[in-house]
Amino acid sequence: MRLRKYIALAVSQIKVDMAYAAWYWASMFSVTMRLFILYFFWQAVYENKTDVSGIALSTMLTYAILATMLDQFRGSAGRELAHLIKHGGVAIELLRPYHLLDKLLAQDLGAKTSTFFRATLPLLVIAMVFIGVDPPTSMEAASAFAVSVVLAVLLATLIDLLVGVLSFYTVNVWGLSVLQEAVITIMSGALVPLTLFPDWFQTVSLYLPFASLVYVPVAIYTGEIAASGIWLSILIQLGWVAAFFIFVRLLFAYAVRKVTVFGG
Amino acid sequence: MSQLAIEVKGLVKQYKIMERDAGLKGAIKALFTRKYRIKEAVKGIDLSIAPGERVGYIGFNGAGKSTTIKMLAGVLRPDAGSVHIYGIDPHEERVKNARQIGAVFGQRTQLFWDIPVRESFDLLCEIYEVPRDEFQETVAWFIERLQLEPLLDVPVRQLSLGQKMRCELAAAFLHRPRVVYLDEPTIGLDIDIKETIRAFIREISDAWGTTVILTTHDMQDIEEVCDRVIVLDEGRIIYDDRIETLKQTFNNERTLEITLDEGSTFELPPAVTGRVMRLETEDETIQLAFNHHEISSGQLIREIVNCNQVKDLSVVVPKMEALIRNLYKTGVSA
Repeated sequence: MRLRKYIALAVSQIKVDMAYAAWYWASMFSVTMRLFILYFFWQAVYENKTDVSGIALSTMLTYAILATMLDQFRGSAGRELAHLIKHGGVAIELLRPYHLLDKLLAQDLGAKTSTFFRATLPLLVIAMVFIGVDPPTSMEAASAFAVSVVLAVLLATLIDLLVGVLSFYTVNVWGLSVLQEAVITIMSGALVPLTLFPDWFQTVSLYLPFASLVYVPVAIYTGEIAASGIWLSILIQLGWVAAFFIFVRLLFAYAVRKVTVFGG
Repeated sequence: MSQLAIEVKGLVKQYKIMERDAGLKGAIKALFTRKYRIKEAVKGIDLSIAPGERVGYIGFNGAGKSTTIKMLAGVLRPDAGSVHIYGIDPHEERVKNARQIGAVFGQRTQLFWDIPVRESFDLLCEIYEVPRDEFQETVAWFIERLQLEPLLDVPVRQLSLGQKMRCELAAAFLHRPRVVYLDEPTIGLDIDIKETIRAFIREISDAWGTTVILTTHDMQDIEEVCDRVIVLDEGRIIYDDRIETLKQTFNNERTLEITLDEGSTFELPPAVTGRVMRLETEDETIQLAFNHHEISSGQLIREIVNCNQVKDLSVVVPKMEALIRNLYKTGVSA
């Protein structure tokens, strides 16, 4: 695999993102709104309390802000693949000398890079100035957080790609993709920390990949995952990334072999 | 060793088509039981195409042209038979094969929708791993031949059909592929652009020895670009020969179109009976098909004028289109 072409694809995706200014401002606006809604929501919850399940308000806000940021990095590669399959563009893609999954991954990472610089950083500044974000609990937590975020973003793309590959079989994956969105929103901890859920729910999410998407990196940052548990959590993330990477590739290879009608 | 550019043996492709009864009842029934009908789109095709050949691949809609091309390109898996493009099986080694082929699929763009043409080319250069200086040389040439200069900074989505097709063509040839598939590259274009495109294909193919497979419904494309014609009908090849041979076969065919004075009826002179064939027409005109060798135009006209009230007449030399139509009717095979 030659890396250069994939880097070129990622860079080109960044340029494409630049082309849609209106979309950019709309999404900036909606995330800013979401931040402030979260702020007022948690203010109300903490009105007469100093903590909820042992979590202080400032920690909760930090969690909510970081989780919202990270939630912006959900994959879009799967939707792109589903679109290609449904509208027949996949035929052209298969004529190209690259692995389609790698191409989609590269484009997705490009899109996420531009999201990071154009949306995440400015929003983080807004949040720090107007709401307040706690610093990471330790240097170790900070560096582990960085690693964990990268793995979480990769995993999000791979899960999304899995749904995309399934559209080789069902063509229309809209329902599946709505379900996936809902499951991820709740089970990843994007809304509230998983520790607020009942015990059985937490046990279930231990065995599912979704917690690795948001909860793990953010909880590492806020110290909810203690220093002793950090490396195990990251190892689990790594395991999920590897498992999905292999599974999606196998499924894709199998699908391409039995591809039938593309129309046109 | 002379290697074939394209070698196809016993190629077969079947589609499974889901059958469903009409109406809501049918839709519900289809949820539980599914009936499939097998449609054989390609029924055993053999092809040997030499490097540098330009082949017109024609047939009615649904004859199996696109299906064949997709199998040649490695996008669709054949149900039986083998395909080799310069010795490579396009389905087993898709990426390796992708490097040596280029394609234009009339309706689908292979450029990148949201970015300007120039950057699309740059990106293709990276994807196909074309050496930078070779790429620049190629692009400069294409820009001149296809008049792309004013289009380079325009995002692809803003191009008109003719502009887009010129860019598509450039994109297909950019990495100097050994084989190029062109699926209806001139569809919906005006005559000037068609001419530009035909000249471009000829020139590049001559310069690089590129093998070209061209499908089209425009026989002018075939006449001007190709040196060999393959006609496909219902998944089978019914004609495969040099274009000159095709022309010669039907070279002596002529049609005489006659309009009579109002009120008079047509009478076929006994002298020509058996040597002409009256064609069915939708209007008043009378059309007689004849072979130039059996009876000369002059003689036929003399005979006709002698015993009919002729207002107007003309002799038509069949165009490529008519030749092909004739092929479908008679099913001449080489």
